[in-house]
Amino acid sequence: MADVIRLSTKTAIESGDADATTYGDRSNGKSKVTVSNETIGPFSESLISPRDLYPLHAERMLLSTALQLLDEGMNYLNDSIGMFDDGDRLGSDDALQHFQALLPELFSCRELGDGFGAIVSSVFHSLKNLDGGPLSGKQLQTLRQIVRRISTEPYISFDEALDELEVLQDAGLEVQPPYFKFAADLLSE
Amino acid sequence: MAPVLDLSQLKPYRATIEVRYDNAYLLWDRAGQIWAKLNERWPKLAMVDANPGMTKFVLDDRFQMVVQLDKCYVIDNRASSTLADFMETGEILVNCVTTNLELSKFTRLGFRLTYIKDFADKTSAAEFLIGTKMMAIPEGKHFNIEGKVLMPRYSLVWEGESTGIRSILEVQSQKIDLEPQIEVIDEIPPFHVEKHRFIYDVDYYTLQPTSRGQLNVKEWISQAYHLIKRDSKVFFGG
Repeated sequence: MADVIRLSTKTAIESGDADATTYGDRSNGKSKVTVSNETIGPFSESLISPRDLYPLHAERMLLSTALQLLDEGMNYLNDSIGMFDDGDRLGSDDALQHFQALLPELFSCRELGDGFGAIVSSVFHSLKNLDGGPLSGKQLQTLRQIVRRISTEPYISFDEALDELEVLQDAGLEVQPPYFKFAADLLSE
Repeated sequence: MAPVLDLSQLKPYRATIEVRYDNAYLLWDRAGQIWAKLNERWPKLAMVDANPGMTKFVLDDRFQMVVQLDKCYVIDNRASSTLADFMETGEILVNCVTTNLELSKFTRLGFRLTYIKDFADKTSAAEFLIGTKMMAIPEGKHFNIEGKVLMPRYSLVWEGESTGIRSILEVQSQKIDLEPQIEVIDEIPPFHVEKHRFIYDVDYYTLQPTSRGQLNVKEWISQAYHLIKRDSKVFFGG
């Protein structure tokens, strides 16, 4: 039998399936939408991976390049931390330098978002400001934590990125280029 | 064998983007702020309904926008084949809601797209779907009825670990009766119309939570739309 829509009265249009995305009504407010919130299958608390969320990432140069470089970077950081823990400081620093070499290319993916660009730039300057000096174990862990964050959340907002930069600074890293404070002084004069 | 049906035979009809989240009680403080900001962007935004659990607006008699305690969505009732306006509108609403309700995580993202093909009567619409050979249709007399199939419906849910798709092919008939009040019947004559449609209704959704920093609304819709155009044929028999 046909659905009958009487425009003068309220009608209910059900989606027909539990948990479906809202289907909507057909008369701009004169109808009611009924949607069940039941979920199908077990609810997983772990975040979806960017590769699952964006299944065509391989066809999107920017996202694809960023995810690939971040994967590579995470491997170097894991190696660096592993060797640091084993007392191999030279090996740890070598792996860190490999990670550092990826940062300019990662920065070229900053169109992904302001948050992404801010984090990559700050990590770059944090390492550069060390002027060849080694990172402490805690600093390495912090670095890995932040790189992991943008690996899973490449579209991180600028506000959230600022929170991450505070974590870097709390770990004793200087996230801005050295000339930045002089520029700030000049601007405030 | 090539599928009998393909998307080029259908026209996009309605598109929906919906994001769900855990109850965001800040809605009780900031619903006005959200809509005031959106109203700056879209001066023609018109309120349809507002209560503590839900606010609903309409833009240009085309987009329905709803913000609720646990979800928000945009429905484009005149979806174009590029979905450009829909993607832009969806992104603006979702980003505004995310910022103002201080959401950090979405429990489900859903992108639902409906294609239609109109027919003169429900028999032709049913024959169109039956013609895809996706369903086993009996012939002859059954249940003591020498009948025919009139409202066929084929649906399935295809799920992986992190995303899923619900695909429905069906025939719908709608009867619209407008009966004006007797005082205005001279100015507005009664209106009656019947519509018979073949509908392809596809809902692409996530099963795992998504953080705020993972979501780029335009990119997500664009990729989901591309997948639907690319892979729908596998559900169209053949």
